[in-house]
Amino acid sequence: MPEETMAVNHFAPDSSNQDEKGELLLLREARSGDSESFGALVRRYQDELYRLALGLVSSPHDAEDLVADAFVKAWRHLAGFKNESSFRTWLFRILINASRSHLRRRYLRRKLFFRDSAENNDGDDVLVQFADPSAENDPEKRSERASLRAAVTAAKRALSAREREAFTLKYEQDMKIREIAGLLSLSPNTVKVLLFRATKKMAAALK
Amino acid sequence: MKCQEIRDEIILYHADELDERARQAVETHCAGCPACLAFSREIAAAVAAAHRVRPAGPRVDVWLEVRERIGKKPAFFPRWAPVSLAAVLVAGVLFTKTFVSFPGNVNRSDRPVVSELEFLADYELWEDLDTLESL
Repeated sequence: MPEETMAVNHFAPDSSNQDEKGELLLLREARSGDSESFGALVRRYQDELYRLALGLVSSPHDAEDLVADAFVKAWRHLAGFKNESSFRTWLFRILINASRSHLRRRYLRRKLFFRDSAENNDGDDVLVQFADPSAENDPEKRSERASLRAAVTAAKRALSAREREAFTLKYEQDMKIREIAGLLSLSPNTVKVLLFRATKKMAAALK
Repeated sequence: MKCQEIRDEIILYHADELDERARQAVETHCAGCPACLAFSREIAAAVAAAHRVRPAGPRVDVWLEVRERIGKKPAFFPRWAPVSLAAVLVAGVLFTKTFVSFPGNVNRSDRPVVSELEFLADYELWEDLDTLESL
């Protein structure tokens, strides 16, 4: 079960009143054009969104770009957000759609220009800061984590896009199958099947 | 429960998606089945690896980039403009080809056909040629 579920939000100001405001209030203010309130929401969710993006596209650079794009898109379409789902779920949907488009473009580029099938993030794993603070403070442990991360990234290449989404949302975002089903507009049984396949493939690759 | 059936339950066990009774059933089965126990250990290792490599967050404050981008006014040239321009051009070309005719560019249907030039049948062409030659 999860060892380190709590990640540190590096950029969230500790003593800011903005972060203590309720999300609904921040949303209302952001809708009326207050970009600072939107900023508080960005800082609240950027770590979670980044983890999801990195799980889906593997490259830290691409993940950061996708997160920024998702927030800009959210700001532009804030009027269309009707509170039918939580703001977090809405952001996740925007990001997942952006990641799918990104992966399609990357696939086409690779096919058109005959690039190597390996994803273009070789060596990028050393740039990732780990949620576990002990791995950040100990160089040996950090190196071991970077190698493990490279292995996990390589193993994920064997997964289909949907399997990767299910695996990432389950084990890297700690979401329940029911939540994943709602987010991906799939039935819980379909998510279970995706999860079975993905976990078996990952286990076989990481043996 | 058979081994094939328990394998999916083992995955749900490590995904923390089983109730207490189902968890007990998995544990009891694995305690007496070395193959399923080995499978369970492989799944546990994969799940632990995914947890251990979880990143902290982006290396940069995403809000700084987002603030800069949303502060800018939308581009004068909207994203849908090229599509609209192409549609207008295509419509223009189709309209021109269908309804507009230029001088000297007579439609095929407007050209006189030989059957319509019946006066030629009555015309003493050869005689006139002789006359012309004599001139």
